[in-house]
Amino acid sequence: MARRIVLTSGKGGVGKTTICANLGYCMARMGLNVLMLDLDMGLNNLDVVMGMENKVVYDIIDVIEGKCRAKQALIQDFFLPKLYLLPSIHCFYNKKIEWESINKILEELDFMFDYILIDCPAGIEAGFVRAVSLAQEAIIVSTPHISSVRDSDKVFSILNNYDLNSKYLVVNRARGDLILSGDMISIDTIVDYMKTELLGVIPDDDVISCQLMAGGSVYSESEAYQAFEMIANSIHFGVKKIYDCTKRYRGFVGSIRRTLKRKI
Amino acid sequence: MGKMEEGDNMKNSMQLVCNNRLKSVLVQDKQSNPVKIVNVLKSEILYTLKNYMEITASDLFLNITVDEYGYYVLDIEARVRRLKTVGSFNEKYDE
Repeated sequence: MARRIVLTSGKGGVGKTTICANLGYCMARMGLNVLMLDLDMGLNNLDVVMGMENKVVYDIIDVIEGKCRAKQALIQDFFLPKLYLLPSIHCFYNKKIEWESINKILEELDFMFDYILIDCPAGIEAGFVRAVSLAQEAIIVSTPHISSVRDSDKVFSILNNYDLNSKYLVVNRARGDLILSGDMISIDTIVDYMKTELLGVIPDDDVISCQLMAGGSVYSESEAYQAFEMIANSIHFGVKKIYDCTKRYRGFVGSIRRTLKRKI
Repeated sequence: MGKMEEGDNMKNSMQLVCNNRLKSVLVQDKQSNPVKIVNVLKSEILYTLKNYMEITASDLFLNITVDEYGYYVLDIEARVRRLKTVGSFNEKYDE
């Protein structure tokens, strides 16, 4: 049976889809069978982030409506044969989609995978309820900005109403230089105020922007990839190691790097 | 030197402002939630207490506040006229 993990946040644009895609890549590279489920109906982009937008033939609505079997709708990654995507519908769909009908599809696919990563839409309405109801675990994504932390804190409270085994926080787009100079809220402060368990920190790395343009996984030597790998290890093996985004900016060389970054 | 110190002070105050804003936003959000939950919680506590004592809704005071660290603080005060005698209710308790 697959472990179902939903990536949610409340606020939009914090990086749920990007983290979902990269966690999938890391897990597949670890030899795990991973299914990425895009539940952001109508505003889905997981296929684009993964560079699979031209491979979509059937989507989840076709499976629900019985136009194809669940396995037919799956898209296999070109480089990682253990990574699959079940795409969502691109256009507006006016019928109500119950989480039970998606659950039936997942029950069919459960035995094929070790992990099912669910990309949740922003907000706390029907789409959120549908995505969270399907999951056993939740990763709440936040950025180190007050508006995002506030929404994530609310989402944590809402998630108490669901039968989830665990809830974790991932802080995305952390800037080590700004944290050290005091211009950004520190990760410890966020964790302290939210009173939650931190799963990982992703640095604000340019390679992620490049990945979003080109599609596919981030460069495996990059800082961001290391951070994603730490999160994947933490989820699968329980090895808790948090990426230190301030490390590069400490010491003499770090202070020069910090000054240069601010100047540019 | 003076300018550097001024810059450091500005950064420290920036961090302080940022932390305080985050704290106040989260605390305010938490404070807005208990209003509804107090009534539900009060009726459930009352229901349980009634098994062991003579008490009415007006005898029970319940208040939920949020402290400066973001923890909820529950204040419960009950004025009870009479306790039931041992043996008149089921004695079940966990160690």
